[in-house]
Formats: sequence, structure tokens, C-alpha cells
Amino acid sequence: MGKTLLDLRPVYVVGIGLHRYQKVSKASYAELGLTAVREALGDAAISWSSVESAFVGNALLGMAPGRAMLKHLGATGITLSQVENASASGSTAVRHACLDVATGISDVSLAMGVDKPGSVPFSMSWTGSERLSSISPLLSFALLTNDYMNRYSASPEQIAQVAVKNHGNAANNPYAQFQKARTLDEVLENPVAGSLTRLQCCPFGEGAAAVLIASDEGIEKLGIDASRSVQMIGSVSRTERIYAPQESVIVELTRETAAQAFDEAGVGPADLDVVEVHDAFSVEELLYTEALGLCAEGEGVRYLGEGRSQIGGDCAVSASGGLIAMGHPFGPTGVGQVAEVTRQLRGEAGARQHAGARLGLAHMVGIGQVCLVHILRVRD
Amino acid sequence: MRESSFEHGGVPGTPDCERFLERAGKDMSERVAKRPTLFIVPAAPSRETVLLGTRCSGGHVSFPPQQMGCEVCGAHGEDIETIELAASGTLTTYAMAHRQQRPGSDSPLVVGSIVLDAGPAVEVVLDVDDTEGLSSGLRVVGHLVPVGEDESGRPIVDCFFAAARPSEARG
Ligand SMILES: [Zn+2]
Repeated sequence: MGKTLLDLRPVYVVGIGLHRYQKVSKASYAELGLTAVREALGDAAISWSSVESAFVGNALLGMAPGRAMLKHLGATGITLSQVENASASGSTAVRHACLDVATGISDVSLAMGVDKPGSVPFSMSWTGSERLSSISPLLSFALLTNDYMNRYSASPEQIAQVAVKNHGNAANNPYAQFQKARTLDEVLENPVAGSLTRLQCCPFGEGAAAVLIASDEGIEKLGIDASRSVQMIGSVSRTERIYAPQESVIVELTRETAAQAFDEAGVGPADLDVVEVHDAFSVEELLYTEALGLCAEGEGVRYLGEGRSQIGGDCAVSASGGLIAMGHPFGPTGVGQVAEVTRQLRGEAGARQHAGARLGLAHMVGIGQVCLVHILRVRD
Repeated sequence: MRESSFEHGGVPGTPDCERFLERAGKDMSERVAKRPTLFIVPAAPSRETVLLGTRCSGGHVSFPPQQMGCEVCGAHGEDIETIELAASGTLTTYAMAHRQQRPGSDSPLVVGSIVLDAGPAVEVVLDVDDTEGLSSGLRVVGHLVPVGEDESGRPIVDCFFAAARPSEARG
């Protein structure tokens, strides 16, 4: 085992910016991305020329979208890497920006995600292996939902409460694709698959998110307001192993990845104030609150029902609205989660602020076989 | 695509259906597999459906079959052999797609997660018209269901899972 993030020099999120997640529009991906980066630069009050490296996460744009976009900030000679890791592309970009700064290679790095649904093929379908049936992610999650209800005697209404909470949170998030609080009855309308309904599934959309990562040296050199910086104390990226056939890969993978991140950061689930999870479908939030250790296995419905995952509860889960309501435009999603946790830890989340937030976690899954967990903490 | 005319011969993939095909003058031994890398079409219609899998020298079984390398131990090449697997297993969960129909049929699409008796788990389309009678732990078997005809008029069959009849429900 080599080093962990905390063994290297400290790194901080010093700037955040987003382009609202939205229905697919005529805007080019470059316009979306530049909006987010310019907002992050303004937030950190630094110029583009101070940024030494950039990690651009996309899953849906094909070859090399980053250069054609970032050159419009000024061609500074910046080091550029494209990052693709399915839904976890943005989270992976964040990790690499953190490592670039933590190892001392750069003092300031940009991690961003931008995407528009396009026509990029799934290379998984090119491995040469045939399948008995082609089951869409929606149907896989409908199966997982039924399995959860069966294992823990949960009702469709109890699971739908995840979406009620998250749509309510997103109503106070100007960057969210959906900004409308919903009643349980509204959430239960429009069945899609199994007990999943339309408002319990993340929407298709586009958007962009950017975070700037800096070292103490970068903060000092550029005169960045250190009091608004948030330290990244854990970054773990794992892929699946072999689990018992009846167990969910994403749940077991999340459990392992989170456990490693807690260990490396020297914190535990009980210490968390804000958490953003990959709640692309409502049942996922229940499974992940359990796998992260916020509550015991099978207790997700009760944890939610008692209001413990609400803003103002024990730990605000998906205060942004999560993937269900803020949206899941792929590349931006994981970066947007880190932006939300940063905003919460700064105490700048306005109407959706979880009071006194000091420790936060962002969790993302990609293609059901990649998992990233980041842990962030306010400065001492 | 599933041939709708076969629907009238009984539940597709069951001996009823096969009798229908025989009445229709089709030679069952000439059935063609839609996915020949995944299952074998037995010469005798009454024989159980057989899936194709792979097993590495360490005894790890894969379905779908693949020669690229074992997910458990990394064995590859000559250390992986193709084997026959029983098309039987246990349903762990199921769900109906409310806005999708099973290809070529008027029935809603119902999918299930199955743990095959040979070990691997698969998510598959179920050969059922609704979720009635489905439950976690239900024994299921794969049936060959006519889904069309090839250029020379031979029936093309695909493998779908459905509840095992009592005589099949061992395992
Ligand atoms: Zn093996």
C-alpha cells in the first residue's frame, strides 16, 4: 500500500462554479462548460492564467472536447487531461486534480465536468460477449427496488419518500434541473418500471460543474481567501470485486470504497454532516445510507422516515436534490456533488443550508462497477 | 422479433408450443438458435434447454461464456473450457416495465434476476404475461421460444426463463 491523500501535502477546494443542469438545449457543451469554469474562477477570485492543470470529465462527448472549450479562456499552455469513467467521470477528474496538487506537481488545478447527451456508443457492447437479454439500467434498478422491498418489507410509498425529500431540497437549488417540491402523491404518479415512477428516476439533461483545487502555497501565492477553502481529506476510487451472486455489486462496492475512505481520512460515518450520493433511482439512497454506515443494513427506510437525512437532521443527504432532482448530466455530476458539499461546509448554501456542517462526503458510481468517495472538511 | 402466430399454440416455449409447431409441419430438429454462443438447441424438443458457459482451471464458472479471462482468478486461454450449464435457477427478484412490451408481443415486459444453479447471476426477460405467480425463491427454467424464421423458413428460437413446472422444479 502506498500513500493516501492525507500523507501528501494538504489540498483545498478554493473555487466552485456550475452551469444549471437542464433539459437538453441548443447551447453548445463549450458554452455550458465555460460558464461553470468562469464562475469557479470568480468564486476563487483568481485568473485563468494561475491554473496550471485541468482535468475534464465527460462520458458523452466523444474525443477531446476539453481543448476546444478551454482555449476560449486564453491559451495559456495549461496541462490538460480528458477523464472518462462513465457516470463517475467528474468524480475521477476531481480525484486527479487533487492528486496533481497534493503531489506538488501543480499549485492550482481545475476539475470540471461537462456533458450533453450525444451519440457516443457504449464500448462495453464491443467486448464480443453476447447476453441473453439486454436489460436497461432502469430495469436493473427496478429489480433492485423490488429486491429491497422484499428483503426489508419496505413499501413503494416509503421508498418514494426519497424523491419527496430530494425534490424538496432541489426546490431551493438554483442549479437544479427540477426546482419544484413534490408531494408523495405526485411522486407516485407515472409508473415506469416495477414500483419506480418517473420522479424517482434521474432526468436526462446537460450542464457543467467546475471546482478549483489548490495547495497552501497556491492559496498564499494567489491571495485566495483561505477561510472559504475546504480541505479534501479523502479520495478513494475502486472497482468491483466478486461478491455473492444475490448481492448488489454497487452496494458492496460502495461499502468497500467508503470504508477505505473513512479509514484514510480518519473519520467515521457518525461524523458526517452532509452527504451527496449517487441517487439516480430512489432506492439507491436507502442502500447507500446503509452502505456508508449512516444507519444499519435494512434501516434506510426508518432513517429516512425519521427525518434524520433531511436538511437539519443528523446528516443532510442529497441537500442539492441529488441525481433524482438536481439532475445527472454524467460528466458534471460528481464535480457538482463536490461543489455542493463545499458550499454546505462554507455555510453558503442559503435556503438549503444544513446548519453547522463541518464534514461532508460525495459518493459516485460509474457503470455499476466504478465507485469514488471523496471526504471534505472545514479548515481548522 | 417474436412471431405472434405462435402465441395461439399455447404458452410459448412449453411442450404445448412445440406440439403446435409440430402440427404446423415444422421439423423441430431444424430449430435455429438466436444466440448460438449462449445456448444449444437440442435435437429432441423434449430435452431440457442447455446453456453454454465457461469454466477455468480453478473451477470458476462464467455465464455468458467468455475466453478473455476469468473474473475471479484471471485464468485465460487453454485454462478456460466451454461447458454446458443447466438452464435452471432461482428467481431472486422481478419487475414489470410499465411502458415497454416484450419484443413482438402484446404482453408487458417482465424482467427478473436469476441465480443459475451453476452459480452466476443473470438479469433476463421472463416468459410471463404479468408478475402474478412470481416470487423470490421461485424455481425457474429456460425455455426455447420461437421468435421468428430464418431465410429458409426454419424457426429461430430464443431462450427465456419462466416458472418451472413441478416436474422441473428440482435443484
Ligand atoms: Zn478462475
